[in-house]
Amino acid sequence: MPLVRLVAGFVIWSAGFVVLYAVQALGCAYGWGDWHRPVLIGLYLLALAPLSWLAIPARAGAEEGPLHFAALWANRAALLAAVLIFMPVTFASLCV
Amino acid sequence: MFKPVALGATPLLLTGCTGALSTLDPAGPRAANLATLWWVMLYGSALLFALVIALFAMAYLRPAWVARITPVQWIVGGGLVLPIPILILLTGTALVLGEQLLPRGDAPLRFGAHAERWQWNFTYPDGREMSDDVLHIPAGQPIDVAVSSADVIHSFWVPRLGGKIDAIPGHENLIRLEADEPGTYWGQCAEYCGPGHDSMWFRIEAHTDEDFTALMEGGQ
Repeated sequence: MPLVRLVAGFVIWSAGFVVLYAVQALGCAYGWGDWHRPVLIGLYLLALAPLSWLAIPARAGAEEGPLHFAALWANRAALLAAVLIFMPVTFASLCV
Repeated sequence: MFKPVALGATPLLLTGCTGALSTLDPAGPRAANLATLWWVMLYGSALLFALVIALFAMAYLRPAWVARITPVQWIVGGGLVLPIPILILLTGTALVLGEQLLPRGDAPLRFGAHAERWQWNFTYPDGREMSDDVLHIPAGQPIDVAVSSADVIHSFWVPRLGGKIDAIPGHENLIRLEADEPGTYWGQCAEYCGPGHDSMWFRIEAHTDEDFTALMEGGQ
């Protein structure tokens, strides 16, 4: 389990990246218009939800050790990366 | 020995800054944006490089001072505090300058650029074809080029006027360019497209308004 937790954050990050990339392109191809931006912002928040949960330490005293410590900080890094890297979907131009 | 070599090499480096295909010799506002971004990136990386080398030098010259820095300070300082603001600044610059390149707002004259192995076929806004891989445009105003391809993926690139855009079969990509002054601006296919790729040149001739109007009317 700690190993799963160690990679979970950045696996979710990469899945979020691929989904946002695809939905941005599909929205332009199919002409989603006014729905395009809200859908992307929704997916942005959806990706942040599990990452936020992973960034909170588990119950005090329940899980100790270097692996849990590394997993916690790797997941916090993934949350920060997701907030920053995905943010342009909220304001940058979507289609040309 | 070192000084003459260093001085002698400088002009050699600077020759890369001009020329018919230089992005660092912009001839329009969009190309100027890209050149600005390039300089911001260069100065940013030079600053970071200097900082890292200075820390490296300190390890030799003032080892006692370096030894006082704890591993946590290295990780937090070098891994978070230093790169994150710089990356945010660089990404922000790229986003702001990049948004300004997009073909938005009032639609200007729209030209066609159709690529096939290994030449470019350009058309006027009224659909007439131009000859000899030359695109005639008016200077001093933004124009749109609708880029498409007949066979494989090519890329339309006029370094002194703006960014590049792919020419994709079955799809039309739009790029906005602007030349400040009348003149000749060379372009090249910028996506490898087969054995004729290296000779897939073209040029843009930017004309004064009067000359361009005459050119348009002359063909009617």
